[in-house]
Amino acid sequence: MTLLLDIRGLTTVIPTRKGPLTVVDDLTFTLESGQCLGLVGESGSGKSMACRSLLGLVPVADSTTSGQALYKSNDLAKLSETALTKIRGREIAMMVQDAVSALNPVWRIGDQITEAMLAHGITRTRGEARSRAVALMRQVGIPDPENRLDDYPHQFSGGMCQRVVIAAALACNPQLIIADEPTTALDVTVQDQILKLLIALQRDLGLGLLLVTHDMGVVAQSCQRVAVMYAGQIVEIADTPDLFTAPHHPYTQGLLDCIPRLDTAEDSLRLTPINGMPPDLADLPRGCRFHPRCPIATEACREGPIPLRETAPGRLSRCLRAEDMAARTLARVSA
Amino acid sequence: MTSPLMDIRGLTKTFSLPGGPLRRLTGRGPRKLTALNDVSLQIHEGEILSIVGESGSGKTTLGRALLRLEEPTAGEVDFRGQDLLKLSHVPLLAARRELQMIFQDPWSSLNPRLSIRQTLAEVLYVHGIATGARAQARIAELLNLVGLPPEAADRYPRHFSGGQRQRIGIARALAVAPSFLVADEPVSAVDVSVQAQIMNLLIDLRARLGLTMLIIAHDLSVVRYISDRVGVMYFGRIVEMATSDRIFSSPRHPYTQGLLRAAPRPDPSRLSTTVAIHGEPPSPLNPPKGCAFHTRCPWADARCRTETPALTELHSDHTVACHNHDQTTEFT
Repeated sequence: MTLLLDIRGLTTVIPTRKGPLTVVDDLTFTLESGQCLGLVGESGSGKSMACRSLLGLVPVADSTTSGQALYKSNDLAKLSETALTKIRGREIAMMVQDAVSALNPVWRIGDQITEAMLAHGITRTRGEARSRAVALMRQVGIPDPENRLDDYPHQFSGGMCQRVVIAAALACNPQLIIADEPTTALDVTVQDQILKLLIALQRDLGLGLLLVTHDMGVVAQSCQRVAVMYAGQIVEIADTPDLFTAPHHPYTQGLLDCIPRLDTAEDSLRLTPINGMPPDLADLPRGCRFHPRCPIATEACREGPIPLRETAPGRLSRCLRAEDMAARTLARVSA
Repeated sequence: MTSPLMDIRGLTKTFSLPGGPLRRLTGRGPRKLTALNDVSLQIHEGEILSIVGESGSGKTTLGRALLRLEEPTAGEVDFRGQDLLKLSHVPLLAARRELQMIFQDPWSSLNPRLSIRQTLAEVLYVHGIATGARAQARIAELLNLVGLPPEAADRYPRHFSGGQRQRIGIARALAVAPSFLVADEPVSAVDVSVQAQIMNLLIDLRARLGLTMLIIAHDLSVVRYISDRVGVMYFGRIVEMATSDRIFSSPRHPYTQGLLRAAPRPDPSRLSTTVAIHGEPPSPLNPPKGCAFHTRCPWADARCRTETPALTELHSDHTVACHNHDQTTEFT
């Protein structure tokens, strides 16, 4: 296992008409090769912006990113655009949410898979690149790849387009894949196929995978470690089994309580929602950003910024009452 | 059992797709897409019936056809003794005081230039229910019913989050005091923490107002909490229908079983690495012969490839359309 990503205090500010807006605040996590880290959060929590900040791809003019984003020994946040271009697509590949619109509709599938290989000099000739594209398409489960190489995206279903995007991401033998909601646009049976394909490839090739999702089910089934985001900040990081059995942040607990489940005995007809709504980033509450919705908030939670701190070996939480939560879970389990 | 509130028989909807000039010249005519294929079901007073299926299964067309937002090609929809499909414009408008719809996308289903007060007053006016002070009182009552503060009335849709907009959509549907609601994916566009709020609201409204609901959804886990009965659609047909308990504990159609297995479980101690259902739904322009699911079904045999299975009753509350349903009893 080698350390691929070491992110410390990465912060992205974008200018808006109402003034600067901190969309990613103090992002801190690590990711090793062969590891799948889930980045979960609801819409607007900053998870997509976090990925884009890592790669210098924030889609807003004049945004500023500070902090440290070490990939191996390079600080991505300080690299020049030219140096970043050599890493992006070559060593770190990114998959976006909507595969159908990620592909260029007037380019043949084969050309879209080979583009990065030729640009990064992975293959010398077009012929070599095409035969590698065929092999990749077969690897991601596209039937009859030799003939489909010259098809256009509209001739593929949504699930098949997502497979093409995976093939293109793998084209340069990257060490790290950042997948931003790779299955959200797909139907549940196809989502299941794509997710299992992605996880199998990640394990077989020993890749690091940063999987962005809003679905706790997807996290449970694919990630070894999870980071939970709320209002632009990571509020908790833990190994997946620990996070699901005993969350150290009340937001995580709330998320777990409000997902409808298929796998538990149904003893009540009601779900427990999290009251209220996520805050507006332009008008954040003082202190803990979750305190207005938190069932265990105290006076102290309303004061000053709350740091992300170690609450147990290998676990981080941005909650002042993490220890009390752990005690409560223990009491509930033993009861 | 009492007679159903709504009795749907043989409902079919075929869309014609205009072909290109080549199709016209060769005289082959427009292509036909059958979105709903001979769907029959009953909905009883006060129940919540959910229809689940993937995109293209016809579930949305079903909901829209019941309210004639989409004109069905064939079939009958009997509601309180009258066939909705035979009503002319004026009686249909009257019938819609009983039948209302909640739309999927709270971003596009509200007029951005109307305040919430105007949106709700319009419904009251069009249906001749109330004007002036009585309308204002009704608007306040509706907002209270869906858990929004009275100040919300003078704001515009852009001031609200997705969950709040969905509450406004529900208030608009309730404005005419309907007895039957069709909710098309009521929570698919809102975040999970808000989703539970909306589902609880629907459950409360049923209890308070004695509503009957048809809920259309793609997410089985959402449906489980809210439904009395669940119907599963695949390729324009209902393939299985049962009480919520039975669908989730002993599904018998291989497609239902696959859907349940494919939903990612929020439990890291129970990992699965096998794919639930291989392949993708067939093209609706080129439907397979026999059972539409045979192209993906692990149980498919020669009969499935030629003969379309009919819905068979396994139990008074459980019907399934599968030739091999006596073999599909194992489900974990």
